[in-house]
Amino acid sequence: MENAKHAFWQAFFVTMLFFLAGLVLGVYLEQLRGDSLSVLSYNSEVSLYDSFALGKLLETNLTSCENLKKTSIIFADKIYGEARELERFDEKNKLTDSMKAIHRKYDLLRTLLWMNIIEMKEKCGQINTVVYLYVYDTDDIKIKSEQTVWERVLSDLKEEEGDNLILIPIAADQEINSLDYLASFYGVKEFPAVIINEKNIFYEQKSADELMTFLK
Amino acid sequence: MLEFLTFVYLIYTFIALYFLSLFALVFIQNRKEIFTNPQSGKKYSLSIVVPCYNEEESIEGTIKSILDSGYEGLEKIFVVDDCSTDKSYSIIKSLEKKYPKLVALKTEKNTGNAGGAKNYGARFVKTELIGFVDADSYPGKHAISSMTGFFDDPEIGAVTTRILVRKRDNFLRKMQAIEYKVIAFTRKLLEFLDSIYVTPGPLVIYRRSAFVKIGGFDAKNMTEDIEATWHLIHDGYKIKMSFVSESMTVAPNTLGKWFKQRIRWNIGGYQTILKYKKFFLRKGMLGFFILPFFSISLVLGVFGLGILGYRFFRRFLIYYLSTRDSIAAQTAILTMQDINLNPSVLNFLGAVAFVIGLMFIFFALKFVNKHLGEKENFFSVIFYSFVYILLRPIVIIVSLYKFLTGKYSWR
Repeated sequence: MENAKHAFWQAFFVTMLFFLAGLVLGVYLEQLRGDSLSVLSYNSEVSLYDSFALGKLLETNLTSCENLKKTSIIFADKIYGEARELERFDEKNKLTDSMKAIHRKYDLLRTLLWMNIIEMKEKCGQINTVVYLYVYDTDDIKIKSEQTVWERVLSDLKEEEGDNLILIPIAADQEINSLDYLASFYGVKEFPAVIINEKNIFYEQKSADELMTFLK
Repeated sequence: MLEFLTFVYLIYTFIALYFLSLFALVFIQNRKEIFTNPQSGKKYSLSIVVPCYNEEESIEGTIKSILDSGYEGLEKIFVVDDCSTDKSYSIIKSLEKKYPKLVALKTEKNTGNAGGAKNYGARFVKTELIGFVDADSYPGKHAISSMTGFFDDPEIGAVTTRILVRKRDNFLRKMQAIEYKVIAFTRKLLEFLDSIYVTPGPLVIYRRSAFVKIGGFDAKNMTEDIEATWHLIHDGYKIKMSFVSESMTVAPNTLGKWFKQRIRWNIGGYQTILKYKKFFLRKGMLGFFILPFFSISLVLGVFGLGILGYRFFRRFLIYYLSTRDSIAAQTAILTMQDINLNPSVLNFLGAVAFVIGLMFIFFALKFVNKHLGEKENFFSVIFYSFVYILLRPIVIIVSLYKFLTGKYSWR
């Protein structure tokens, strides 16, 4: 009986040891993922400032609209690729909230990009933009499945249009005031929503071909 | 903040790792004792009661195997026919002449359960020890004599042995054969924790005074052998297990019969938990380990299946809706983005717990088989570990429903 009691405690300590080691390792791995994405987000931030700087240069006629458009497209594609990478890791981080914070930062960067492009459009004329406002933190099956289809359709659209289109997916439920303001300014009533050139807003599923007819 | 399901997952992993660590430690600390049986200079007088209901095909084999077991203190074998509808009773009567130690008994009316027939037979027993053997079970050579030595310790109330599957002529029986071996190994480890929670019907010997003290079997219980064991532990007795011998039993050969048997076992488990619930976290090993261990294994099974079902249903629904809408939107129904091969820390912890569990099964089988001189088919063990075990939560849920609605009977 005494031995039995010892075995219970010993097993508890052995389990705690393994379990805590597993948890610490898990948290460490999640932090590593977060760190690698932090570096990406830092680079994206620099790229964004670069595109802001180009916008300023445009005012002094030291660069052309073509250059600014090109830079914006490259940056948008970069940030879009990183966003997809982030999504892949995001749902796998179970122990820490590090990814959520990075995600929010990316959403802010993307909002800034959108604002920058709106400003650029005024100076340089039309560039096709598709802003996809989705819900990040949801358990709603209908919304999740709708968003899955939107992601596939918009991916097709981007593939089809290439550099003729800037695709900016932004999570709309991240408490980013500037984004909330923009969404409300353009009359977005619910999410997920797709905004083409700040004019056409879609809530119902459309095919890539149907969306293409709204591009310039 | 951890999500609820993540939290549940962590608790599951912790509990699984805890029990695996516990069994590993108990094995390491007691490995030299596993095959050790106390030898007694005393020859205890023993009578065996065999409850019988429609066992015309197996009953003679059972009687013969009890006699062939070769225990010199065996005085009587009381075979209790519980008003069988086949020729069981006439066969038993005719065997009385052939085997002088055999006494044929018949209940006045069908008791409806094994406990009733066992209690009926127990009334005729006057020996120091009383044993029970199911009518479809076959104690091995020296099985009984390997068990009686434990009774030198006055604290011992009952002794059980390894229960193994006799005929392994189809896949289901092969699965059960693996299961019984793993259970036998685990039960022996539980003995070192004074926590054997069942003394199964294929062969058990009780100290008669202890058996009388607990008032015999609870005939209303669907698993009278579990209830009797808990009752003995509650009354301060210890349960031992002989690991050097076995009793072979006939396992169900169809899924329907198997399912019915497991439903009965689980309902009996629920009945016993309810009966002893007031001792939860009280009263020695019964309240501090057996009750929580037994209850947790049932609750975790049900809850785990519920979560698994919920997650599967959710994923299926999302997949169905997104596929339907993807077709309507003329886009791909599966993309590389959907195939996410990044494991989470929970996947790692789950995999570690599962691998250790798998290692435990393989080790238990290797350990038992080494003594039996048998070998296990690798793929059967894999199937057992990945598929057969998953049937348990389903049985638990169905039996819980039947238990709550009162839709059950022994036969």
